[in-house]
Amino acid sequence: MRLRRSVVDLGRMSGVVPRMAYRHMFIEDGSRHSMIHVQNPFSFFDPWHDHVARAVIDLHDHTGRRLGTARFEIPAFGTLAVDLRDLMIDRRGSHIGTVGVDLLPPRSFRRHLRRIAPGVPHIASPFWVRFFDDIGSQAFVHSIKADRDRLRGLPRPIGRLTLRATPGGRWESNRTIRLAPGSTAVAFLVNHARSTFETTCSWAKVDGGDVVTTPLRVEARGVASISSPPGFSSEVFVSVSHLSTPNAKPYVLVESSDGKFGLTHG
Amino acid sequence: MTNRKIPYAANMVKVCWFTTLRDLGYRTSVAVQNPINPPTPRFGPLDLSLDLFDTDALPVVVGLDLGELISGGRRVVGFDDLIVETGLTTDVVGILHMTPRHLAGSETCTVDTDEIAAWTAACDEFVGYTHVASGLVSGVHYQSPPMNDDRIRSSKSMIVQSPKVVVGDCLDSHFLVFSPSSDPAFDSTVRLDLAVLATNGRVVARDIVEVPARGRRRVSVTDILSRAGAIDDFLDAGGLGMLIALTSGGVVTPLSLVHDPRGGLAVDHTLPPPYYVPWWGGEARREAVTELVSNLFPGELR
Repeated sequence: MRLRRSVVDLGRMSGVVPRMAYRHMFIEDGSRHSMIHVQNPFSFFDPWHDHVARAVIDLHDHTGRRLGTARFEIPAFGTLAVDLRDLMIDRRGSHIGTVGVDLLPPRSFRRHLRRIAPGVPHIASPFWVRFFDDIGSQAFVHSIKADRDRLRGLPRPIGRLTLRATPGGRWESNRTIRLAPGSTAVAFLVNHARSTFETTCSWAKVDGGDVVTTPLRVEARGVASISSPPGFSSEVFVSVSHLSTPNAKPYVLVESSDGKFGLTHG
Repeated sequence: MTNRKIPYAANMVKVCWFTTLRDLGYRTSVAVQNPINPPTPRFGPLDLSLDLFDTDALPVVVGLDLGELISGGRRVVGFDDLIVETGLTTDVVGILHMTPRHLAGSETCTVDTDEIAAWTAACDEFVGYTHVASGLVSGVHYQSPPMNDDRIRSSKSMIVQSPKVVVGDCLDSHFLVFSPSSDPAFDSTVRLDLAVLATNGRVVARDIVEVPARGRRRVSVTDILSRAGAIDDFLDAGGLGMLIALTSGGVVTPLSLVHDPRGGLAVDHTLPPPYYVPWWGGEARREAVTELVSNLFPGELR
């Protein structure tokens, strides 16, 4: 607590604005694609000035290995929409991975925040990923969680110390999925914590029948996928024994027999 | 919110508000769960019932009994067959009531606002949209907290920002809103001032939508752009951008859609400004909103 207070005091003096960078999953497998949609949120808090937002976008593969980083500028009230194929060095590859967005405010906006904030202000960068294909599928899902490895905008050791990587608890989806014959559901679990985590993911039938549980090991900034078992053509739901961080619940893709898909939070 | 006891309709303590999408060719269902982790010591079965309102917000189904949901139980409740039975050919706004058994049987009760908040937060509901022609399933999770209710929240305005407008290549974006209220006496029409912005932040089209209490409106971004004579330039620039709405007279549940006639439906709720700057409010918010209105909607009287 004392350390946190000193960071607050330090923040007041130095004018820093800590940032929470959000992370999401993406799919780029040659037929399914992902586009990120990011807005410049600063315009809403200070519409008197044209603050340009800088967006730092990083891509990691499913093992957490960094694929690349790209930087963009977003004008006041502007938006950024990037097809992730344009950021891939190897466009022929098949990737499931994670994309992180860190929005950096200009100095003038940091001054504005410090003037109106009750303490040391911090900002966050939630965004959307649109998933689509060429046969008519469309899905929008917002990023549910920020990386819990560190607070950006602070010296790295302080940023790590001031952001607790609290582990998440057991999670069970409120959604019951009706799987038609020939359909498959796939859960994607992202690790928002700073280190590898292990958990189990279960697909269960609502009628109290089968439960199929799979152990998982997910690297930091990586993602693991778990398909519903063959023959689960009834009402099913997904659960996770514990999440990497609170509310880091899985994404769920439901693919129909003709290959089209929908994708939502679990 | 400080806890206090208030008189409240017993069947509004835990609800899911939803709207249908028959006009785009989808069937609607709501997946509900009686949460395993009880939010109150009086945890037990939930009694399910349904109200439906037509496009003009007139009640067409009131208090239809849908049975009980036992502790830990799950149901997927579909509505389209029922709507057909009523003879309606339009869309509806619905309230799926999930009344805790200890409150059932009485029209009104005295309840802690903390208990309402606990039931709201206990679980998200999943509103699913199934494309009739292709069978493709889309949907969105959300909670239905008390809204448009002076007893609990005094907010009469909201900022909606949806940075995910996509038009072109057979795709259109839609803004789907409905106006829930936990207060049976609420009868105000909510006005939305809409602006479509290009990716460079420039306003390219505006529109006004009025939503009656418990009513529904769906607006096509392509239609807004076409009426403003801005569709060609918008498409030439890539067909991407943002939709902003400012409400007055009340608040709405806003859903943004990207629709592909082949069945795909990207549907999600929006994220209000505090998701980006969590402590924002008070005088700073009021001054910024006033400036936003004059920036985005010059000449509009609000």
